[in-house]
Amino acid sequence: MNFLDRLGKWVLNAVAEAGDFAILCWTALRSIFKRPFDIRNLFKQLERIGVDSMPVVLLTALFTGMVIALQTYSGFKRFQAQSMVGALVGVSLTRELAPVLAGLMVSGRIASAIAAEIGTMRVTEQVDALEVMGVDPVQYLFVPRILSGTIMMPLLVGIADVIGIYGGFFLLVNVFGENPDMYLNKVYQYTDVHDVTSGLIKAAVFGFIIAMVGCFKGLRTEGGAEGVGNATTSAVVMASLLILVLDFFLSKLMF
Amino acid sequence: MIELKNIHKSFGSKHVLNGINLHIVKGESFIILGGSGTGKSVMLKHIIGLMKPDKGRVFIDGKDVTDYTREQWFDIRRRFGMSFQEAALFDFMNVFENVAFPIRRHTRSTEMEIKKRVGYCLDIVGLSGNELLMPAELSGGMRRRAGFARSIALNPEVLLFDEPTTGLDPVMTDQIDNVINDLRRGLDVTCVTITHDMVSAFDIADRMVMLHEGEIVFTGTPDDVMKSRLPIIRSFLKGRICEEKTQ
Ligand SMILES: Nc1ncnc2c1ncn2[C@@H]1O[C@H](COP(=O)(O)OP(=O)(O)OP(=O)(O)O)[C@@H](O)[C@H]1O
Ligand SMILES: [Mg+2]
Repeated sequence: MNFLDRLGKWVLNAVAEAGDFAILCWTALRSIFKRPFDIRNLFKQLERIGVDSMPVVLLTALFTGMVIALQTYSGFKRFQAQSMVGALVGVSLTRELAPVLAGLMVSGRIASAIAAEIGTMRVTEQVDALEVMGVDPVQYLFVPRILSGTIMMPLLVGIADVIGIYGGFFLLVNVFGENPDMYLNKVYQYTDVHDVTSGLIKAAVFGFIIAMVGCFKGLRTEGGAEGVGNATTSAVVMASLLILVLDFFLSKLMF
Repeated sequence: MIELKNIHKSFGSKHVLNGINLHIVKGESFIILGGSGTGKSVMLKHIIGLMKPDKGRVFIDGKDVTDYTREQWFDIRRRFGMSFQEAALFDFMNVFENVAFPIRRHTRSTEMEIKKRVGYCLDIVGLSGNELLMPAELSGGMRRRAGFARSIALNPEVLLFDEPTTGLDPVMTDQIDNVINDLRRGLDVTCVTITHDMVSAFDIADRMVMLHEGEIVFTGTPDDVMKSRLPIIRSFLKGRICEEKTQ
């Protein structure tokens, strides 16, 4: 009974939280169109999210591209199909791996940072101070961050696609001595525009989710420094889970 | 002007406010006294809608604002200024930008006008020359004064101060009290101030209330306070009496 009680409570909490999150997303989306629009703040966040995430995303993409090439090369070679490695790297990276892995990495980097920042503002009453001054915290704090997330993630993933593909290229050509033209030809031949755009759309959605979850968890922070710590970790967990779940549904939708 | 009717508020099983009734008149300086943790800050936050009562109603200018939405509150709050107990300065802006923030958001002032206004506000709280420091580089008392300066930047009609002078030296305390008195004399400003400092309370008060265990146990003018026989008031007054003897 005790176990069921706890389980029931957990489920209720989760559902309530999902509801709050959905409402806040809606409020934030509407706030994007409210005046005054804070362009300076937007650029600050764009720079921060872009610059902070660039190194992790690029390293992730590079090594992911190389490891797919490595694994598929050893497999495909068994039936003389090593020329198809380029096709596989191109499709799997652009459709799936670049957006998802970049999303997970950026969650760790940015969702946590946003949650910590807004959480600190919450517990030190800076959010209350905004409200008292008649400034909507959702508009002032959320909008620049979610816009930056939504704009920056596709850019990052676009670069990650290229870096990942060239990671595979580097491995095949320089380590296994394969023909350089063959690899790139297969990449071009088999990777559709749709593969790339669907990956970039995913990236935009993930970018929105990452920033939104960070803001959401930050705004709900209670209980001093410890609360900020909890908000930070739970923001990363929630953002990562949402990314994996949404990835499935988006893939299904854009199949 | 501001009316609280039978306000109740609990956090979990902890009852903080147990039926608060008060009426603050336009233009008066209203002081809230009370021991630490009796719910003074919580009460102040009910006045400006940062907290909602579990039971009871809040009226501003005769209108019931208890169930106002956030958007509706934003309009009311333009007329209010509030300084927080821990200052609540924006830690990503320097002192100048903090004080300029409400002006930039709500007026179309030129950079010159902003500079002048911010300079004036910082000057009267004794912070001239610290414009470019970040909040993290300020002492507790400096932070509090910067928060005070920010709350008066827009010349609001109603000012809520949560312990504006706690932790300041006597000279600085006196200066802040003078600022509050000047504000009220010049414009028709309503002030609600929380303080522990009986000297400043007597300096600025038209009326005082004493909060104890979630209830208002005393309301009256400074004269009434002096005459009161309530033990809790007497013990608060002891601090002041000691100081008068030493003068
Ligand atoms: N957000 C909150 N969540 C839970 N409890 C709270 C919250 N805010 C205040 N309290 C509780 O309400 C009580 C009153 O707090 P409040 O801050 O109003 O005290 P205070 O009278 O301002 O004291 P002080 O003079 O020390 O500032 C405290 O016991 C505190 O634990
Ligand atoms: Mg307090």
